[in-house]
Formats: sequence, structure tokens, C-alpha cells
Amino acid sequence: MHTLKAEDVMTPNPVTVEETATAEDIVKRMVEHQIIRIPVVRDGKLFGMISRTDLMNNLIEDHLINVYGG
Amino acid sequence: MIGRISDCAPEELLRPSDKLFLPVLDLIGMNIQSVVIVLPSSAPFADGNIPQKISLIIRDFLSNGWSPLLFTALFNDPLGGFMATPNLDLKARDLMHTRLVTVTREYSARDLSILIHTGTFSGMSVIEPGNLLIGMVN
Repeated sequence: MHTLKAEDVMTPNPVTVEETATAEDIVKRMVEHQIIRIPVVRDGKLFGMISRTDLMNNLIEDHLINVYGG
Repeated sequence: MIGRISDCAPEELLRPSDKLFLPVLDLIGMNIQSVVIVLPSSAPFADGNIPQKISLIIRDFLSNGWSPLLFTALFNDPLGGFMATPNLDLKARDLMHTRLVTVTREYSARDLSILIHTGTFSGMSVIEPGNLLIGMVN
């Protein structure tokens, strides 16, 4: 029986952004592709990850996050 | 799709939060995942309640089970600096986190599913030697 591997279940050629992409570009990409995290690449190599939480933490003031969280 | 409430009259913003919440509900019906509120620069901030009202709206969103991709209040003129304009020019390298857990293409899909279903991870990058990104598993 064939044992499934990561390559069998992964989404190939994922949506990525370069490290120089702006927050606005990233938000547009996330909305356009309906994804909540996006890999950051440099020359095709994984460099980091940006999640929705990362965006929220960086773009919205602390006092809003405090209310947002409770 | 990004919804935009840019034509709110200043007086609308000074009413109870449900007044502004209603047009936002319309946007939800349109399957919009992100809302940007652009406050007119002429908005009267004198009572200082605008950020609180926006916070109330966000709380309403959450209590209705709607998770906005991004809810940003943009101030054309942040009078008094009550809330800074989000810096949409920040670069990916400034926003990203680098504590990554990745797997190779040979990694067991069963083990991956355990990691994801137990809540340990919500998604995983699949790489080849040399950090070359070849896929994502969600």
C-alpha cells in the first residue's frame, strides 16, 4: 500500500511574496487567493512566513488589539 | 475582495456603533473578507470616541462569527494622533516571522495530519534541501 507523503498532499507552487513586497501587496494577495498565511521567499528559498496575525500586530494600534482580544 | 466604507458621513460616525455596523453587514453578505474604513479628513474627532466605536464594530464582527482578514481603520488626517495610520509600506521582511517548522517532500502525510489536527500547526511548508520552497500543506 502506498504511504502518502507530504508531496502527495501539498499544494505545489504556493502563492509567495518577495521580502521587498509591501504590506498592501501582501494583503491584496491574501484576499485575492483567500489565504491566511503567505511564505516570504528570496530567490525561491523560504525566508519567512507572514500570517494574518503578523499583519494585525504590525498594522493596528495596541489599544485596538487590546479591545480586539477581550 | 476588500470592502471599503469610505463614504461615511462624519455625522454617521458619531452615532451609536450599530449605525455604522449595518453597512458593514451588507459587505459581509457580499462575501467580503476584509474591510477598510476610510474616515474623511473632516470627521469631527472632538469627542474622541471614534477608535472606541471602531473597536465595538470589530467586537461585533467577532461575536457574529465573522473573522475579518484584516480590519483597518485608515485615517486621512489622524488629528491628534489618536490612532496612527497603518503603515502599508512596511516590507515583508519587517512583518514576517522566521521561527518556521518545515518538512521535506518525503515526510509522512499521516504524521503531518496529526500535527495539523491536534492544533500543533495550522500549516506547514514543504521544502527541498537548500530551503527551496516547493509546496504548502494546510
